[in-house]
Amino acid sequence: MTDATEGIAPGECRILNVGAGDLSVSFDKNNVSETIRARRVIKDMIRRGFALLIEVERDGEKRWERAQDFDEATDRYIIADFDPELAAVQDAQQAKPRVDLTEEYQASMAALNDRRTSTRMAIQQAKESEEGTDTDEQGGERAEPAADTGEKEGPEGGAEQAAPQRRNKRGRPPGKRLSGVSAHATRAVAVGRSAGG
Amino acid sequence: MPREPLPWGDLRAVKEGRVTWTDVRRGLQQVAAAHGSWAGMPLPLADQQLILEPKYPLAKEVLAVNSVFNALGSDVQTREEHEAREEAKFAGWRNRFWSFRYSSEIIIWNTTDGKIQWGKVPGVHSGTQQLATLGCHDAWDLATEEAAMQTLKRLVPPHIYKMYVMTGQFLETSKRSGVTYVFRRLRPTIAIKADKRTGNMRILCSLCLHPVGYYAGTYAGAMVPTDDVIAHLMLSRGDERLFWARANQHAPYRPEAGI
Repeated sequence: MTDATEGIAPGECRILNVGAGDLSVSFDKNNVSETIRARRVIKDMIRRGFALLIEVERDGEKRWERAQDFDEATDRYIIADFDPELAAVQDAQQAKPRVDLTEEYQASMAALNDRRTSTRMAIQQAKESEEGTDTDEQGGERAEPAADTGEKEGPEGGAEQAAPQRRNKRGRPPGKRLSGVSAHATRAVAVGRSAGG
Repeated sequence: MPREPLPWGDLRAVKEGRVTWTDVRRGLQQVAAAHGSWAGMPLPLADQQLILEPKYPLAKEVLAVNSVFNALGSDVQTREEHEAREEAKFAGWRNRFWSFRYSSEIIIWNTTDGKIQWGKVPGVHSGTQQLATLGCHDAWDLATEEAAMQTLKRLVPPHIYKMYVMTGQFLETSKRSGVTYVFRRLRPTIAIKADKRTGNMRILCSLCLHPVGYYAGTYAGAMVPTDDVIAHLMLSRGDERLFWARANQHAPYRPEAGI
């Protein structure tokens, strides 16, 4: 474990320490013992609840993300493989705006009103024709609302619309997607558990 | 065994055979390293109450060190012990709330004789916390602070580092949330965001977070001030949700916010 006072080099993990200055562990291919020690320290810190922030590159831009776990076999930090900003944009695009729901409701109510009107008119016509016609037409007319209910359709174009991709509350696709980042080429900073303030 | 050269009065203390805070800090770090505590071991101070994070592994060892300082009046507790001790003074809390009229926190409690008492904790300014923070400087080492500043220098652009050195604070805006953070030395981090209706910037809250532990009633943490700033900065960059979850959120009008 080295006590570095310079910047954080690739492969190095800087641990914020209380009294001795920031300590460092490094994944150095030329120093096997230091690498073994670094694996043990990183794994132990994650187990103790340390927040391990590592520098990753997404779309050519470097940013810091928190490592969820560490794979000792491959020396890779495990991070969530999704971009929170991109997920938020996709969630906004897939979410139905309120005006569409209002239009669907109005369309369904209009269709229901039309059916009611047509039924009422049919009954009225049947009553008017009762004076000189059979009652079978009335029974046949009454079956219409039931037939309409059985053939009720959804909103216009609803069957053709593809079901949106199911997402959980955080905007991620179903299932946990994680990826690994090599510890040998990544800068990291470890922050211990906090006591508030 | 040759000692490293110590600055100023510490060298005289060594020559005279007196133990200094630097010696104690070094000893504590050796204990922490032997026990595999990667975050180190905080230093109990006389007349300061050290609050440790609940799962700190070396709490018993810190209490053992504290027993040495009992005569000096230092006090070390875990957060649960701190809350339990406060509660033991009363028969039970009834209520506590902030009074804008008195700019104070009103506390109401039951007493053992069945009566209800109330009191005011003045909060007009943060002078008490600021003065108490001055007394915590013995917990830190100059070399440690300088090393932390070098670390910060590599994490922020040069003009931001200059801003921090000159003013003790700097700004950074999160791309995820749009919140602008004002990172300050020995003060909670201020979260600012533009109001949706007016577009004016408004203060959301102050975020107070100290890894390992802090000294109650002060703005001082167990780590050197710049290490606390680095912790805030890295958490805001890497896991903003965790930053807000772990930090205590103080309203801007409270003295704990340090505004």
